[in-house]
Amino acid sequence: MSVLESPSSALETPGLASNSASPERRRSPWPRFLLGRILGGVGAVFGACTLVFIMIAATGNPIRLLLAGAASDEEIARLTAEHGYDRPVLVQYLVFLRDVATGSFPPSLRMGVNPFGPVLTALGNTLALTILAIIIGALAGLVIGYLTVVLRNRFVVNALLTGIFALQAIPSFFLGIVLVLLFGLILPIFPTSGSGTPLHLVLPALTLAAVVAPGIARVFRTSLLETLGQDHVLAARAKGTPAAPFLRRHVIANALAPVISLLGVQSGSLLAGAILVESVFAWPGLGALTVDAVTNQDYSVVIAAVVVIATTFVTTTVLADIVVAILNPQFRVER
Amino acid sequence: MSVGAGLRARGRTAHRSGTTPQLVVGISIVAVVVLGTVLAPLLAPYDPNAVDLGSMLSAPSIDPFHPFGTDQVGRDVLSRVLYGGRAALIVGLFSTLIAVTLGVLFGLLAATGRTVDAVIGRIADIQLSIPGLVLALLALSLFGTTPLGIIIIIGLEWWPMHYRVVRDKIRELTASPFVEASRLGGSGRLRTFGGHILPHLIPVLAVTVTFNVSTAVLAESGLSYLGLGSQPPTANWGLMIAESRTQLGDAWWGPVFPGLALVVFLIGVQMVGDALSRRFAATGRGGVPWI
Amino acid sequence: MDLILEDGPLLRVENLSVSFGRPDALTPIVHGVSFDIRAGECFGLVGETGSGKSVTGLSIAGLRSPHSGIQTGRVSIGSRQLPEARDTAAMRAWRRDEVGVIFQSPTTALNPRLSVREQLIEALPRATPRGERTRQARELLDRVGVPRATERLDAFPRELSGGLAQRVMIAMALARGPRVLIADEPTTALDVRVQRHILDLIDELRQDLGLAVLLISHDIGVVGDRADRLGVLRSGHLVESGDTARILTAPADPYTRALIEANRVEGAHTAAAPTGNEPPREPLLEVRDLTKRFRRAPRRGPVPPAAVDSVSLSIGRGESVAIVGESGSGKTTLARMITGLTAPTSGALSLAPQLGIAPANPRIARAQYVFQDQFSSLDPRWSVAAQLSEPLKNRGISGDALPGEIGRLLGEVALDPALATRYPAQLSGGQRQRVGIARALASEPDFLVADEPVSALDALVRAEVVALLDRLRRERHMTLVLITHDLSIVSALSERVVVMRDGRIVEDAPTHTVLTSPTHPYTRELLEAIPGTRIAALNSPHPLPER
Repeated sequence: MSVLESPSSALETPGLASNSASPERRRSPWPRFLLGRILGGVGAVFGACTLVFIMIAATGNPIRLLLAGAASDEEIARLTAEHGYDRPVLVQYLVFLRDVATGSFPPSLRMGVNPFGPVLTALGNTLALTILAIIIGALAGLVIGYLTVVLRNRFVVNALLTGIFALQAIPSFFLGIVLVLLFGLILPIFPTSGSGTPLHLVLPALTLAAVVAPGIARVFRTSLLETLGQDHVLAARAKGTPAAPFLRRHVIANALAPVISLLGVQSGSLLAGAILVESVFAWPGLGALTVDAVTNQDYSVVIAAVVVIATTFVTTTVLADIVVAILNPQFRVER
Repeated sequence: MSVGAGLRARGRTAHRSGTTPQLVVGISIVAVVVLGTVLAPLLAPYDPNAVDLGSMLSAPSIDPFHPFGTDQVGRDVLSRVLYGGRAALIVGLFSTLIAVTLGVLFGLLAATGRTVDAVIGRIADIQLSIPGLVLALLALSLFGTTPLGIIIIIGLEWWPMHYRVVRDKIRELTASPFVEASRLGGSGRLRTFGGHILPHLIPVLAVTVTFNVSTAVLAESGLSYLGLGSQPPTANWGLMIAESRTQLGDAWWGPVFPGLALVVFLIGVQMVGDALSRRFAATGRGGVPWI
Repeated sequence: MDLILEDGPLLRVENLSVSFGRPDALTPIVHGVSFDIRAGECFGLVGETGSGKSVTGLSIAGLRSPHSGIQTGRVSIGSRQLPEARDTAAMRAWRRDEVGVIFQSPTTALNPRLSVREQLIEALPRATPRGERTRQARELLDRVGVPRATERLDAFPRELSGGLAQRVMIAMALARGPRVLIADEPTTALDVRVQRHILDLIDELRQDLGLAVLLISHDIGVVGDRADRLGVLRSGHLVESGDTARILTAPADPYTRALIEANRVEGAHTAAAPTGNEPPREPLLEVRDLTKRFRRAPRRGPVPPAAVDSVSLSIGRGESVAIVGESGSGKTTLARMITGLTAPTSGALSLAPQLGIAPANPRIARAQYVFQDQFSSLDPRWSVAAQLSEPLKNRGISGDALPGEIGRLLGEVALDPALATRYPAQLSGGQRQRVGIARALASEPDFLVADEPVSALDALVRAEVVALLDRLRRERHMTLVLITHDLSIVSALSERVVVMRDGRIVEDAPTHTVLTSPTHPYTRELLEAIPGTRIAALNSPHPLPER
């Protein structure tokens, strides 16, 4: 149904006038956009640190907790003073922020040193795992999503859709165990735990990829169907554009934006998934480190890990926003 | 409607009406799992914690009656699977209640003014900057693992989702002509809200609630798997998977049956959510209301 | 026609039938439609929503998916046949070489992700040398009258106004030199002046390039003005086709006659001159220096000009006033401020005291609003009876009196009382609009503000709703404020016309004066742009003018 004009929306949207701005007044939107996103990211990390501090402060004297009775009273007093936990809460907060900013955390119970270094090493392993998982998962998800739209065989399409649906309902730690059973024990192809060779990365990466793929497939499918229903696709077809460039330029490229946004949003559930998957496969990443630290009540490590995970997560989200913007050619200013 | 969308919609009408079976099947699956868990004391052939060192890791068999086999200390896996859903279902139910209550409350509050809206939005953003499981790990390690603590920490994770849909829906509806007409017709704020806004929130919330239940159940099992939820010897799906995984090579049934129970339940919930959101989308496009 | 034509028609459509759906459940959409168009000729296809006119156009253009149904019949351009749907390569060549298509909504028909240059170059023949492409794209823009073409090449679709976007679309359709141009509602989404310019452009290109044009529209006024011959499509059947002049003067089919009649009543550019002996009206509403400024989007763009800029207006009791303007003129904002839906930034608004007894409920607005979009004006979760009982209850009517009152209201808007139990989704567009009017009447308003009440309706329904509003106004001696972009319906409904442009009133005079001797050039331009001149001429004793 065509509505000749929708007065309420047309008039209540003051941005409308600026949309039709003539080309010569176009300025590069990049500086403002980047600044906004980066400041927003810094704010989010700051907020996350504040949340962590509030939770620590709520337990009373964190140093007593951190050392968990493994130290003498003098040592507790010394560290309490060193990290400022005998001062007013506001000062404690500022000291905490300074410690976070400089990466100096109280010594770990088990390692005896500032856990920041080991946490960063573990972050490297986790990133290796998650990046590989994202690549595999996103590719698989895109291919499956695409196939469910273009294939004409109803049976195959329904099978694919059911598969995606079921995969989404399988918890990553259980899927990991099933993969260990299948490819580690019944068909012993891959190592099932630890690290050392690239082969050790195969099963954890596949497990984590299975967390990524279904969401990507569903979003890409929806986005493709929506794009295909738009008039400009019909108009491009009317030009007689050959099949390959038609699909690439008018359908796939237009349909990709929500997929990339989803990847940014998903990085949170992916980090959560990584924690579980790493502990299934004893992969020495941040997740396994955190779980170990929690089990052993090594709070300094937990705090350092949480701060690093939050920072990583926020950075990923910001990067995803920037990638979406790069793919959006209205940001491309060529003069 | 655009030409392309119009053509597409015509081909799809037949498709849409076919979603009801999905809802029925989904609800049946959920009902079977819930009943099995609730009625476990009546259904379970053995005491879930009865240790029988004489039949450790015996494979599934009918005689002796261990259809799902026994675990590393000879406990009947079927009985433990039946009992093992309790924590997950309780946490799923109550933490969802917490999340929905908070989300709806904040959503309604946000409708009262721009400043409140901005403040709540900021809080949600900060919370979302730490992945939920990580926040849960931190909280549980600092404050200790208690069932109530788990319910609260999982409940706090998802309120922003309900808050967003409630807030957006209220905003959309407040500007809609039929709400304006209701106000012009002399209905007060409360009456307009109760009559023309509140009923529209139910279908959107039905979708987010089902999603919340499945993520909460998943989170509880995940925490238990990591040893931060139910403690041994409690029968708990996540914990059972963790405990039996070392014997995976000798006794695959140990982790597989509790895992399957979890998967079946999640598939059921997911089917309900999927069917609800499709039916809701259909109502939005001009169907007759049904929730 | 000054063009030397080949003998015989260029585009031939013979017995075209299209069905949608899966092979086991086919829904026929187009039934055996046949017509032909010669080079340089414009054939108009008229029909309501769902008549199959767009499907016919898309089928000829080879744009229907081979998987969405079945298509039979013959379509040919010159000696070339429309290929089998499954022969994708031949189909692509057909689309590339033979037909150009223009779509209804120009802003959605351009890919938002690509610049005008990229989209135009893509439409050029592949053999065009690389260095030539930008130059040819610019020439195309010049050809379709896009000013400052060089700069516009780098623009993205959202930076273009509707009219410019439609010109770009036409440039794309012409890029490969097609012989047939299919224009599917090319101006429905545009303002009336822009519509005229676009239709003029299509006419000009048709004559210069000898194109065969298929002009598809829901508006028999538009088609009647522009087409040499026309066909009327109803539920997929071509009920009538032939020479435009013949069909307009002597329609053979009753449906065609009804369409023309509906358009003629609306399009009558004459209104009864005031008799001069009407008593002066006591003012009901006084508006003084009313201004509305919307807040600008945070951190974006300059402060927008006021949507309504110090408007002063007086409306008398029982008067029927039309506020006319194009999109962005501020007419809806003014109407919303009158009813209290939008708060003014500054200015005063005063309403004369109510006649008779005081209302039962002071919250009930004395001005009720009839909304444009009949989809969102009714709560989808409420039955018709519930929608009507809400304002009735607010007036203190309840219990046993309620059903009778609902029945009376439905009767007043000429709806079957049996519809009371239906939900909005189970009603047609016209029925929904009637329910919206009944709901407004339920509050016994002093005056009714109708915001584009018929612009989203089909021609026949449109005429019915206009007649309904006119009857209600007379029967109830009700003040009516009609908001419209379209001067053609004001003569049927309004005694006075207020023309708005850019938030200001440019003309305010009796309808008769505005329609016959407008003082402001903008009003004149609007009047001239109204389609349906040929049909309107039927009303006059003069013979049909030739173009």
